[in-house]
Amino acid sequence: MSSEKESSSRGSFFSNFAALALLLLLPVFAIWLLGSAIIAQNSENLRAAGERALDQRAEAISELLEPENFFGLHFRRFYEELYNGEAVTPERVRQLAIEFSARQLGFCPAVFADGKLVTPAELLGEHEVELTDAWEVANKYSRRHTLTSSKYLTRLFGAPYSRMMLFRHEGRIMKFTGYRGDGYIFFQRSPKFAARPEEFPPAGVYIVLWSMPSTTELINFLPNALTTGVHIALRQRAAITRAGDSQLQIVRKKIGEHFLFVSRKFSGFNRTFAQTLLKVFLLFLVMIVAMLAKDGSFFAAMRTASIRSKLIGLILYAVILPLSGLVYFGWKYLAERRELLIQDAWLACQGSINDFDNGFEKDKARMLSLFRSLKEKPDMKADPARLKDKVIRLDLDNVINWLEVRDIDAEVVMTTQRRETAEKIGIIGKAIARLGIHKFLGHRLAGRSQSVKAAEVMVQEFLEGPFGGWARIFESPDELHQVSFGGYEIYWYWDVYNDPGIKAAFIVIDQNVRWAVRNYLAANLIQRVSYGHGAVRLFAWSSVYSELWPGETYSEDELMIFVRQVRRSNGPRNSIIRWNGVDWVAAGAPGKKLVDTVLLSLYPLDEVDREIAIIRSGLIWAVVFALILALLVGSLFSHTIIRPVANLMTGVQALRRRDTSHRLEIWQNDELGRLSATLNATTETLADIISAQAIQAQLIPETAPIIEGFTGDLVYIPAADLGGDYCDFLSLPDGRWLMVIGDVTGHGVSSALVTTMIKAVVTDYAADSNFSLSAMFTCLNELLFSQFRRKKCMTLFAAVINSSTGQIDCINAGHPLPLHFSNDARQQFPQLCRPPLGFSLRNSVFPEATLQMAAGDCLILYTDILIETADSSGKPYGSEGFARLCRKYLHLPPAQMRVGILEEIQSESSGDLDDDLTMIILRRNTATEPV
Amino acid sequence: MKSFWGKLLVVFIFGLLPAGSLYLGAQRMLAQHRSERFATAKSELRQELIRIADASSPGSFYFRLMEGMLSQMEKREASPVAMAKIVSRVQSLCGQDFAIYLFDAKGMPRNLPGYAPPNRFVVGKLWDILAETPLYREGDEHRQLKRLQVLLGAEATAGVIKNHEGRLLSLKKKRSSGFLFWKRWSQQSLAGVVVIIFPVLKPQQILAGPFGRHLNNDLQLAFWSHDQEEPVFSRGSKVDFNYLRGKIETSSTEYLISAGRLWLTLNTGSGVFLGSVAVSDDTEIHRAGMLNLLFAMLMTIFAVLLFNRSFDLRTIYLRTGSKLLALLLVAIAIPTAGLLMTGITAITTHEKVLWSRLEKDVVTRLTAVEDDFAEEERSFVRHCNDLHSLAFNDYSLARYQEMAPVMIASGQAVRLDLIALNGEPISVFNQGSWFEGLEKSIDAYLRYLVQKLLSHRSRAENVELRRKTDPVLNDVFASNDFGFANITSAPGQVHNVRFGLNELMWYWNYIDAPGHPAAILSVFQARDIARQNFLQRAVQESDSGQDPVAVFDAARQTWLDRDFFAADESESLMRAAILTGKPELRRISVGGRKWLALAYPGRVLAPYSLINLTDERVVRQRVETMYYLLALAIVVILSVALLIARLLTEAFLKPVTELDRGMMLVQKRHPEAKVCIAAGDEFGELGQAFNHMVDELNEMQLARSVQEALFPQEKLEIPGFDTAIFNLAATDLGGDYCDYVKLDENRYLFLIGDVSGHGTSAALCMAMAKAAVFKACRAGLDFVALPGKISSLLLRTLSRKKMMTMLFMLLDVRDCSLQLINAGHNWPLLIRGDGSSEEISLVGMPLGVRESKRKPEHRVLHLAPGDMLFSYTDALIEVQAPDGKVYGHEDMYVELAKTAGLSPAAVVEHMKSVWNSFLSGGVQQDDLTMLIIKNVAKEPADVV
Repeated sequence: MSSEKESSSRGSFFSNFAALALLLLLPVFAIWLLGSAIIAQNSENLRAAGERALDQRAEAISELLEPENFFGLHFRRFYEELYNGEAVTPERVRQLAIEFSARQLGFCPAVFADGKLVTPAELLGEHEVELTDAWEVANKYSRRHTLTSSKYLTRLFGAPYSRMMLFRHEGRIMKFTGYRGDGYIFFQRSPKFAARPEEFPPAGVYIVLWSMPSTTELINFLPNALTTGVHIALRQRAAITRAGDSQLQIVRKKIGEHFLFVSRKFSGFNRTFAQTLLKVFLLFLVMIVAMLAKDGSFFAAMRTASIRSKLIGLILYAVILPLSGLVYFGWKYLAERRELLIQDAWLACQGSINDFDNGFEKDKARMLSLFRSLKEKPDMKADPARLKDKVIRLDLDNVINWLEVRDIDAEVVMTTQRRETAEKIGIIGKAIARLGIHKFLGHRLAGRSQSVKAAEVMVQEFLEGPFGGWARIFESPDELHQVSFGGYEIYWYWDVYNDPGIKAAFIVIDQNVRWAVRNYLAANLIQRVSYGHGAVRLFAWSSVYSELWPGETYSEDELMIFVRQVRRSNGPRNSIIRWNGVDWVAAGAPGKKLVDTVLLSLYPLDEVDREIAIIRSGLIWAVVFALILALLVGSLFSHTIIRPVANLMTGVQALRRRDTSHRLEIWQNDELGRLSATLNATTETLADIISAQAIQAQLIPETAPIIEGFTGDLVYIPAADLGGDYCDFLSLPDGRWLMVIGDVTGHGVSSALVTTMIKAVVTDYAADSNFSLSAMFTCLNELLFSQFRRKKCMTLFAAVINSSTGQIDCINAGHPLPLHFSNDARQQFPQLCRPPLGFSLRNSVFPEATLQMAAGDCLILYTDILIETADSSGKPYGSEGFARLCRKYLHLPPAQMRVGILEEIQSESSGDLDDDLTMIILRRNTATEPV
Repeated sequence: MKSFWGKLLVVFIFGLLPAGSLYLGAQRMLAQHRSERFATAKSELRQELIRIADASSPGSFYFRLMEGMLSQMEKREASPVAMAKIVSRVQSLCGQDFAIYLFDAKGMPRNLPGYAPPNRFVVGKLWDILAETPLYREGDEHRQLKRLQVLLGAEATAGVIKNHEGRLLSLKKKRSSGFLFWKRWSQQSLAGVVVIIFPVLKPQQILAGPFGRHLNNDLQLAFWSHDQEEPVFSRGSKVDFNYLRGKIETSSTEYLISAGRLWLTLNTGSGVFLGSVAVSDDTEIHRAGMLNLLFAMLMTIFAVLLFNRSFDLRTIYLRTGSKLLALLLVAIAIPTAGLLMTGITAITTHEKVLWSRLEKDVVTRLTAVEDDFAEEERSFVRHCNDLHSLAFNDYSLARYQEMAPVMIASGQAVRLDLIALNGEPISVFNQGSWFEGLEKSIDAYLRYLVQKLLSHRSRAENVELRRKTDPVLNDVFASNDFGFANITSAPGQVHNVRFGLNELMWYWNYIDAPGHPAAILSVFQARDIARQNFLQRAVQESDSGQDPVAVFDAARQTWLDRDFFAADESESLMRAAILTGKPELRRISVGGRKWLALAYPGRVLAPYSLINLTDERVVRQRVETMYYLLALAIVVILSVALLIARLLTEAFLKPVTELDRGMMLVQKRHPEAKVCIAAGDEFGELGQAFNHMVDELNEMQLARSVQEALFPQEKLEIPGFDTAIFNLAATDLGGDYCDYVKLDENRYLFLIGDVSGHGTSAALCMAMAKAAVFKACRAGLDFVALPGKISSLLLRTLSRKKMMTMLFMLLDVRDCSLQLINAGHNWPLLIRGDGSSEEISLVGMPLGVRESKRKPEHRVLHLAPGDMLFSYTDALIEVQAPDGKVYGHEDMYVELAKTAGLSPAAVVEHMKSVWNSFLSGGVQQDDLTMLIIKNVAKEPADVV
């Protein structure tokens, strides 16, 4: 017992440890890990979101900080405010000028109504005349000579300034570069004239900003909504210097020549705080679990939970761990995969931009071959002048800016030039040709030196010198050269003809790079070159022509914001933009070869999300599959454990019900299977015993027979299926009744065997005409002793009832003496004490006595269980106690009396009786009593 | 059906699932391996292409050639013969268009034996200018300009050449391009070398010639220059290359797999390279085939198992514990494997993400450096503006005269011009020879500016331009085509201009202040110098930062004062970046440490490029942490599984083993077979039931011992006779009855009987018979009446009929007679001493059937000496072998015949063994009893 206890205590230590680990440590650890991961991820997400928001804010700020945008917006607001329905008076203009900080920003709002200036003179200062002039020239009702004014204005606003330009920019900002410097013009006629452009004299505004304000100045005029909460700094250096504060978020934007630093204290989610919260939560959890554990009932409940719930719990526990890991990693994977995919999309977009950009190289090659082909044309060979028509036709496609063919003496044979750039090349052209011809066709000149004018010497020197990079060009004819100087670029092609048969000797072609780019864009973008299997869409914005290709885009504005961002940063930019109601992964870059162009490339974000969705559904399927598998395994578990056990349980319960027809199906060949087999065997045994019970039931009468003059009652309750008690009523041939009650030592089958034998002998004797109690007892004694050698003894009390006289002859072999009640009092019963049967062969004479039962007398015969049973006080009843009990019910007829006694005994003694119970009540009827 | 599903489930879980997942896992691994190999092949091919592209570009090729040659020459400075050898070897490499001129310490040309390069005079003059030898005279540059241009093309001016010391100067002369390289052995020495290469080899020539020899034979290669449709160089079929390039271009990818080869394009400035290497799929196909075969085999085995009838999982004995463990492991194996796979994928993704973030960070950082270069321009403007205001606003030319040389000296400008209103220079500061050959044009332009912009002032102040501006040049300056117009219209700004090979920043401004002599200020700064200044500063600043940054000078192919980076890996990385024009990220090891290096090709900063090294541990540690976490998770999961298995063992296996132990004991009929199960669940209940069962079995045990007592306990000693009794109950309690009673000295009663059925009820019946016999004998036996007596007892006692057969035998030793009454029992056999046997065919009513008044048939036998009476219960002949055969009488007779002469005990033993062997492990269906009486007297006479 002690060792068992020890082992169980050891086992319980382990199981306690395991339970502690499984229920407390591991979940706490897992929650901690997962929680920290989520906190980390969340803070990173928040940080990223904050950075994104900051970036957007910075974009908005830098958008505004660009003077063109700023003033565009500013002047438009001014315009709208001015024409909001109220009358335009000098006073209002003055007020508005103050409101819009005209003085601080340095612009002059000239407002005209009915051909007259409304703006108070002090607002315009010395510019009054100029502005009035400009307005009048623009609206063609000049007081002065238009030409004079125009010339003056051209000086003021730079060469490109013209009326047409002004109208083209109506309502927009127009930049000018005049002799006073750079500035902006905002010109718009009042709303009522916008519809009737030809009416005079019109009203409107003509605002001139004479000097470009620096970005630093503009910062002070930013709307409050943009600047609150952030710190804005403009610096010249791009390098970010983090001042050791990790909570500071900084975004850098390039604005023109400055760098805008928008910084903000990151004040979101405090990581340490969250982690502390988590710790506190875990501590609480530990405390709760500890309290539950201390209570003990928690563990007890766990111990007594059914096998099924235990199994399910454990399997789920085992499965949920890896599954949660799977889900965590899967979630992380998805998030990062998305990031990578977007990255890839950006790369693809940038790649498409690059491709498109590089494609221009090919275009150049085509251009070169076109230029080359010109000189091979038959027209060209015969009479270069006839080439002109062809070139003019070509020119419609804007592929050639200028073409000139000269003869060997460098005299022009043919020349054509586009109108926009028509400028005299004259002597330079000749010099260039001469240089080329000299260098490469010296032999064709045949010693005849060309007469060189003094003026040309300078030019020649200029061209031959390295100035402007011309020297290299003059060393290599028949190639496409890109000449760039001061931000101006052209393609330049020239060649000389070696063939003496050809009249012309020199050809020069040039093409403006901007036009070439425009042609390329028009040719390729409008045809919608698509990349990335058609998913990538490409756009180009030409900053020279302020045009977006392809043109029929739904909403240019959304794209334009991004275009401006790219232009501001002047480098490749990635972003996610919304366009046409859909999100796009967008990349943009200023063209490298395609100068003055911003290329945009869009890739639908849906594609990325679709791919993510595929992965996600794969993951979900994996999880579902794992769960299904766990269920399947659970079902196998139930096959292995639960169902056999349940099977066994039904078997056991059937056994309890004494249902011997139930046989267990044997599920498998293991311990449980063997257990089932054993249970089946037991069931069989039980069936056997139950069938034996039927036999024993025949041995012992169920009820007392009707004995004349007596009322009898008999009860026999075996403790097991087969009892070891014996009682019997047998009628003797002479009309008397033999009443036997006995108790074999022990109970069960072995005792039943003995009772059977006793019954056989007793029956035999009872059949005998000369019946003698003592002979019977001697015989029985011999039988038991000879067969069992004291292993099985039996107490036996026998009585012969003479129903007519009421005389009872008794013989007793060690059986408890019956209770004899007469006149409601217990009578002394003759002391018949002999050892039980089968104990010894000596003294084979058993005491006998005769008892006279008066009417109403009651004789109670019983087996020892009735006196050995403990009463409510825990002490055995004893014969005294039992007698008292019997007297209590003595007034009842035997049957009710028996019921009463048994009920009381059963209620007093807790639990089942552990021995067979037999009781015979015999009462002599009183005369009055009916039978 | 149920069992079929169960079978299917088992086969699925233990067969298909592991096989399938193993298959999938193996396939995935194969695919992974394949893609890895493919990725390696791709990156190797790309690097190879980059290497080829780099090596085949003329600049790089000649530069290396120069470097190699010069280093060899420096080693063997003294011997002209050795030098001549070197030269001839180099010439053999790149043809005859290669001229080398060596100069000694006095600046005089050296002669190499057997080698006489052309134009030695001009080059000698050039050397005088470059090294400023004693022969150099002021103004030589101008004098030699024409000659140089004839020799080296129009661009070659002494100034330009001077600016390109140690660099390849690319030249153009009459449609052909060339290189000039010059270098002094040391900064101050007059000795050095000039190399002129005219014309240079084209990349295709380099590929075909000197370089192609070193190419891997497996590599197929083609090269296009941008403007050509056909490859200018190819190894392999041209048609193929055209086709493949078309395919790659149309599919917008940079690689393609076709014909077992991997094709990759590389776009570089000089052209497109298309290369291919074989990626053999053979081993993979082989492996995949093996895998499929294995899988098919596994599937077949499972199919066979599944449809084989004899396969029944129930018959396989497996301990419950093992089953539990196996199931638990299966249950967690799939999610764990999923976790492992997802985890590894997630971590690799995470690594990639980290890399890309790092790349982004570093690119941002390096872009910032590049962006900051704009500041250099601004500071230039600032300086110029300062100068401008100094000179003009404050009217302090003296300050200007002070400041301007400082600017030159500090490298902030290379030339400062100040032009007076009359077009003549007030002061010109010039750093060295940058502008040799340009002055005239600049002069003309500045005068043009004065005239154009300040004409109103000159009119007002009556200042005449000293020299007239050239109208032709005015045309040039006014023409848009030449870009001067733009410059003219934007004073006070930085203009980027390229004069020949010199890239310059140009600032000019005018002043319209009456009374002030100065008119135009023009400042030039070489971009190259500006860049270098800036980068040196940037690198120095970055030293205080986290990651080392270095600058690579592509023109000189050297690192800008950073020896730390001078490793092959970083250089090749840098070259790759410069070639492709994109940032390149790679893992390299420099200075014994691993770095993540990002090479960033300069755009504004070209030819300078930046490289940034980040300690690889930044990424590696995080990734490793994640791997550790994953491993930890797996370990935790497995240990939890084991723990749970242990718990399961505790919860399920312990009771089960306990029950098992109990059962073993029960089978051995051990009375202490009770189990102790402390579980509160069904097992506890089961344990109780089991204990109850054990009680009952014990009870039966007891009953058996009681019944055994009913059988004769000691051998009856009968003089002259030998007897043997054998009883074997089928169950605990038997229904057979066998007994003998000694009636007196000479008479012995023998009984053998069999109650119908067996088990407890039979035992009860038998006990009854025994009691009846006992009483009958005690009362004085009436042999003939005995059966009737017992029968009537049975009938009286048992209302439910229990039939019993019985053979009554009364042996009288005096005459060796044996009286027999048979109550329905098997006929006994009389085996004579001579071996003959006789069936005693005696019929009679079994006992307990009905009351029979008729006297039973009665027979008297005489047992002669050696005679033996063999009586038995029917279990002996009705025994069934496991195959269903029944033993039968005949076999018994045969066996019994063999036993003649044996003692009864031996006969019993023999019959028992025969019976056992026939039963051969089967289940005994009925109780077996044998009773043998044998006359063992020597002579019959003795008995009398």
